[in-house]
Amino acid sequence: MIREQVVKEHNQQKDFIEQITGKKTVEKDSIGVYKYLVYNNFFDVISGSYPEFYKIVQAKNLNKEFEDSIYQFIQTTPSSCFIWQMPNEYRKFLKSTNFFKDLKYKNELLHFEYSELYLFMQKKSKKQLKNFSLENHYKLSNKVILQKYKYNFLTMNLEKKYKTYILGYYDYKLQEVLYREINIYMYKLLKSITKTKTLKENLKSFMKKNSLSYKQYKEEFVIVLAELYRHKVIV
Amino acid sequence: MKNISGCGLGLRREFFDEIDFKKNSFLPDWWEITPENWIDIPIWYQEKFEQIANTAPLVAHGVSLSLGANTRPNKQYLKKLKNLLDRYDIKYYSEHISYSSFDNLQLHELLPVPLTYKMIDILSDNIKYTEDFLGRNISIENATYYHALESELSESDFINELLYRSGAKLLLDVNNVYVNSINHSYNAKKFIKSLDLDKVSYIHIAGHYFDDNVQMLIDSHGTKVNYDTWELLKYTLDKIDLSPMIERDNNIPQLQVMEKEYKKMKKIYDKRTSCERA
Repeated sequence: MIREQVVKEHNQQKDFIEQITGKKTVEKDSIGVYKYLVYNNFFDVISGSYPEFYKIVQAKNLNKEFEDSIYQFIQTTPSSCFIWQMPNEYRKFLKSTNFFKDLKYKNELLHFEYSELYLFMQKKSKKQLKNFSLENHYKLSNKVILQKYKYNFLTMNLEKKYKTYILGYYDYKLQEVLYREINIYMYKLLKSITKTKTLKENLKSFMKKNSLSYKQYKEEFVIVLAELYRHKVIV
Repeated sequence: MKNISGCGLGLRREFFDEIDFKKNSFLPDWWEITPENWIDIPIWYQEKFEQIANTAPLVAHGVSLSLGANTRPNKQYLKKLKNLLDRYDIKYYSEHISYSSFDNLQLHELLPVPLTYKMIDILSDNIKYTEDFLGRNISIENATYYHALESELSESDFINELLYRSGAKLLLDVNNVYVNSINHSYNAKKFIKSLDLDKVSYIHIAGHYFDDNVQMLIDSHGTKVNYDTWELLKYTLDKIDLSPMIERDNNIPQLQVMEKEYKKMKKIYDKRTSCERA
C-alpha cells in the first residue's frame, strides 16, 4: 500500500539513478559526485578482480570500451548485495554483449581469472585426511576448478590458441590458489570419477574406455591421485 | 537493546596478521563488522575470524540492505545476515538512512533519499520488515549526502520523525554530521542538539577529505580522523554517554596505526565518563 503511494518519491529516485549510472545527462555537479563514486567503485572492483584482462585493456588502448562496458553493466545488471560477486556478474554480462569482440579469449580469460576469487571464497574443507586407497570411494571436490581452455592462461601467451586442461584448487599449506596444467587423460578421469564405485573401479573403467592398459599406467595415475587426495581435490 | 560499553574499531582483514592472541596484541573493547564482508569469508581468513569473534563482542553495520529502495530488503540476503548475527550472538545491527539499490539494481553506494513523509513511511515499513525478519531492534545511521533530493522536512526533523515512527535506534555518525554541515552549510553542533539523543545506540567517527574537483568534503573512511570531527565527538560525548567507534574502510593502514587513533578516542571517552562519575 505504502509503496503504491510513493510514486513521486520513486520517480525522483529513478531519475537520480538514471543520471548517476550514465543513462541520462547529469543535471547538477552534486549529482555528478555520485556518478563519479559509483563508477569508481565498480571500476576498482572489476579491474582489480581481472588484472590480466585489465592489463590487456590498457596495452591495447581499450580504456574507452572498458569504461562503456562498465557503464552499460551498471545500468542493467548488478543485483547482488555482495561486492565479491560483482566480478562474476560483470563476466556474465560481458559474455552476452559485443564488447571486446576482437579479444577472442575474453570469455575464457575472465572465467580463468574469476576462478581464483571463486576458489578463495569457498568454505574451508573440514574433512580429515585418511589413508589413501584404491579401494575407497572418492569424488571430485566441488571446491576445485577443472576446466578446458583454448588458450594458455598460465603463460598468458594469447597470440596463438593452445589447448590446456587446468586444475585449480586452494592449497591449505601454502594458503594460496594453485593452478596446474594436467593432461587430457587426467582431466577426463577427474571428470568421470564417481563415488558410487571404488577408485579402482573408476580407474579401470576409465582406462578401458580410453584403451589404456591398467597394468601399464595404473601406477602413474595412482601417484597423482594420491597427491590430489592430500590436496583435497578428490574427497 | 543492551548497551555496549567502551570503544570499538572496524574489523578489517588487513589487521589479521597483527592480531596475535599468544602475544596479547592490541584488541579494542569491541569490533564492528560489515556483515557483507563476513557472510562469505575468504578461505584463509575463516579460522582467524572465528578466534576474533570468540574473544571480543561484535556489532554489525550493513551497507547494502537499501532501506530506502522501492523494493523490500532482499530476503536471501536477510537469511544469510540472520545466520551470521545468530551464529556470533551479535545483538547490534545497523544500516543507513539511504538506499543502494533500485528496481533490484545494486549500485553499492549509499544514495540520498527524498526527505518527505512518504519516504518516512517506506523506510519505517522496511525497518519493521527487517526487524521482524532478524528478530532484533535495529539502528539506522544518519548518512552523508552530496545532493539533496526534494525535502518536506529538515534533515533532523526527518531523522527524528523516522526514529519515532519506526521505533529504530539512531547510530549517530558524527563524521557524517560534520561532512554534511560543511557541504550544506549548517551548524553541526546545533544539528546534533536537535536530534532525539535518547534514541542513540552508539557513535561513529571516521576520516574524510576535501575533493578539489567537486569542491566538497567526501566521507571516504580512508584517512585519519580530522581535528573537527574529534572536537565534534567531544561535544557529542558531553551530551550522551554512549560508545564511539572508528570506521576505516579505505587506504587501510596497519592495526598499530589504528591503535593510536583508537587510544585517542578512548582517552576522550574515558575523560568524559570519569568527569561524569566525579
